[in-house]
Amino acid sequence: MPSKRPSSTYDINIKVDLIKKAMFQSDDIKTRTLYIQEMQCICIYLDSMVDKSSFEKNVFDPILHFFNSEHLKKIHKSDIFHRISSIIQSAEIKTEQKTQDIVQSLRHGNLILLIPGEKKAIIIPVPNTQNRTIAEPENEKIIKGSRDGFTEDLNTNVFLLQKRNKHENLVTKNFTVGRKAQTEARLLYIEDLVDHEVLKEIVSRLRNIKANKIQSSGELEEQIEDNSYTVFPQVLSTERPDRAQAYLSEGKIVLILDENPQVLVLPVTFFSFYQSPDDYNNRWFVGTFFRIIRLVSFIIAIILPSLYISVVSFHTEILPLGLLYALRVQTEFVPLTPFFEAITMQVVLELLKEASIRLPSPIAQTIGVVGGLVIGTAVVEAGLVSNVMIVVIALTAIASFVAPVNQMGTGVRLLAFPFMILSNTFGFLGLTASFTLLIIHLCKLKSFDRPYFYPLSPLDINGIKDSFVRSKK
Amino acid sequence: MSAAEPITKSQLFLLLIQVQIGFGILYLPNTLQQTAKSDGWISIILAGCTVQLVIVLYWLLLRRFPSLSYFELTKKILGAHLGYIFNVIIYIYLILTSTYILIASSKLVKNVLLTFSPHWAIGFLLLAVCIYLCSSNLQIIVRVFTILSVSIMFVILLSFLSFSLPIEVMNLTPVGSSGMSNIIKGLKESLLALYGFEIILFLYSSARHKGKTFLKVITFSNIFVVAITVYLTVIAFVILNPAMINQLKLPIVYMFRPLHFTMIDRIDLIFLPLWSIPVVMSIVVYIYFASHWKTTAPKKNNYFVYINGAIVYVLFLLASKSDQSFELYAKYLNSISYVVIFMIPFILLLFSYILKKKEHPS
Repeated sequence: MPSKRPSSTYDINIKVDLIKKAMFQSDDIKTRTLYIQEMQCICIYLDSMVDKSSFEKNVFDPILHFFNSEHLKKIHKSDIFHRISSIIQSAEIKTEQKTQDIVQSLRHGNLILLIPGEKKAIIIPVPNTQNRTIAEPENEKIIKGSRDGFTEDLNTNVFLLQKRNKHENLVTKNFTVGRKAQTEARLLYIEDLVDHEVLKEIVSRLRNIKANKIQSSGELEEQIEDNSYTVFPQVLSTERPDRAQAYLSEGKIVLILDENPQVLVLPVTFFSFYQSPDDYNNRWFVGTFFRIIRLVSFIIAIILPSLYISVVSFHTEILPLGLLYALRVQTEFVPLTPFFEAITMQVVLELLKEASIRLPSPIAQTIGVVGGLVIGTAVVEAGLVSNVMIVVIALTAIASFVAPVNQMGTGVRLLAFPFMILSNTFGFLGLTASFTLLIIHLCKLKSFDRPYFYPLSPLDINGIKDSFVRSKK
Repeated sequence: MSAAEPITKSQLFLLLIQVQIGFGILYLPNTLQQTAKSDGWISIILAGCTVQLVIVLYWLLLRRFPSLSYFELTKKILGAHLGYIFNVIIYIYLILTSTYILIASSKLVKNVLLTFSPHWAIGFLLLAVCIYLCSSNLQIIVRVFTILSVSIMFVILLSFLSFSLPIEVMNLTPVGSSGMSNIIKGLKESLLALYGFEIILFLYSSARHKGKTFLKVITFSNIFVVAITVYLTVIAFVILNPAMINQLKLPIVYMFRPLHFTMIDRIDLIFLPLWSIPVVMSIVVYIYFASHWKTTAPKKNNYFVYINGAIVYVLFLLASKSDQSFELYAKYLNSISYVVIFMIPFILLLFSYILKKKEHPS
């Protein structure tokens, strides 16, 4: 047979060479020859990206079985192409002609089938899907509620939402983001509930993304948010399908990026960050209590250190004599001013937190003991920091960790620094001024052209019923 | 989108009471002690009635031109040239008033809270907060005022604490003992404390509810402010004796001094920062309207806000340099405020009736 190689085989060999060249002779490219009615066809695939057992079973077996069966009459050459498309058991078969497109689909885990004499190549998806199983997210634990979480697979994530919405008109829109390396994204919303003005805005922002490559949902968030100069996240990212579902049924829009278990919810308000799916699984007044506790924690986390600083360094006369004496005795021999004391301890706290995040959990516990107990007590006994300051900083840290969404907690801890600086310069006036600035800032912020501080600004009494308290349904 | 959003009834109410409640009240018992003495509350009520009369006249003028801003209205009634001159006077008034509020507040803060802090720094902080808010639109401003009104409510709650102090109701009697002339003199002083209502002139075109509802809202806000002023003044009179009021420059702040609690010893130190924030924020409204003379693109108006902020800060530095300069400043402001608050609106009302100028609903 090699002696009378038809000219068309040359075509496909050239094509294979072209593809290999376009992929810089990567060793990952594998080829396989198969004969269909004595024609030499070539399959190309990326070894790591395809599921081999699947393509044996769903592609090769049917083809070989069909064409090599004895009672099959000789099919005309031009017909083979169509036949192959019809017998392969795969969902979406496409054809491509340009080498560039073929290379692209090769990279996405497709099998390329080249038939001599055909300009187009058959693209058969046989992706290697190695997915993490659906598990409860580590960083958003709840006490009562469902235990599933989003994974890195786009379709699994859509599935998790879709199955929660069997009775609603859930709409999915496909997007690709990034100019050069296009990442797949899905936009989900419930047709009857969504605010179409916001939807239009989001779609236009997604289309206008200028970045070349977007890989994480954090990057995507940065590209579409309203204001980058703020510590407040304007998009909520969650790994919990139940939380995403709760927002979907409120008329919010969910954005899922491929390879990202963090799903974005938009537009959100400030108060969304202080709600948890837990609230709705508890009795309503228990849920209300926890919501209020969380909002109080926000205020504690930002003003407690600055309140302490302004009292100690400006307005000690506000304290009754007994308390003043106790405080003075402690702070008298501390070498640092209350402001530097607070800043130092905040930084130490951040160090401890940062150190323990990356470490495996047994070592992280050691850090906790060494950092929290040993350093905490030793630093006071050594007379470097006053006892009250340790109490203040510890309370602040705990209060900032109360926020159910991590992004907000971190933002709040950062926010405490300007508060401390102003309180250290102007005392109570600095504290009230910085608090006013914060309120103004929150009122000015928008999330996709919707007020961020709703329902407090603009004031909506009915809205308050569901953000501050968890009202009975 | 939200730029064109009109102001609702409750927003208007809360905005007005915060602009109208000022530092004047804190000094009022002391100044009234020089004239009307224990009959001061009568003076305040009479002043409130005067204000009510004036705002009704404002309303009569404004309802003829429901969609025009005040600056457009003057031009419409008096023609382009005369209207322009009037607008300049109004602009100067707005700038001078905001500077005056800034000086008064920073003085107060310096006297009570931050004795060792420099004047310019306190003024800068307060002005910076105001400018930050001012560089947005009116809707955002009223939203912020709605939230900040909580601090006024909190202050009123604080004042209830003072009921635990010994109260001497006899301090108020005999009613009417100071005589009519003294009460009228007191009226003039109390009128100064109630200034701020002139901002109504600028708000009509942005309000959602016009006509009778608007009048109702501004009347209620006036009644509320007068009630608070009378309430605080009366408390000061019954808690402190006349000799003390004569001595104390800020009776309403100092009447909290005798209160002691196990955690907090000095309520007045909490009272003052809480009071000063809504008061200082009224600067925002003045600077906002001074900068939005012409309705141009929002970006450009922000530019004017920064310029006006700079002008206010320079004036603040100059006027607070010495007591003489401050007195001179107060004198000028006093005369221009008579012109802007009373004369100009009356002239406009008169002319609009004589010339039969009215906005035709299209």
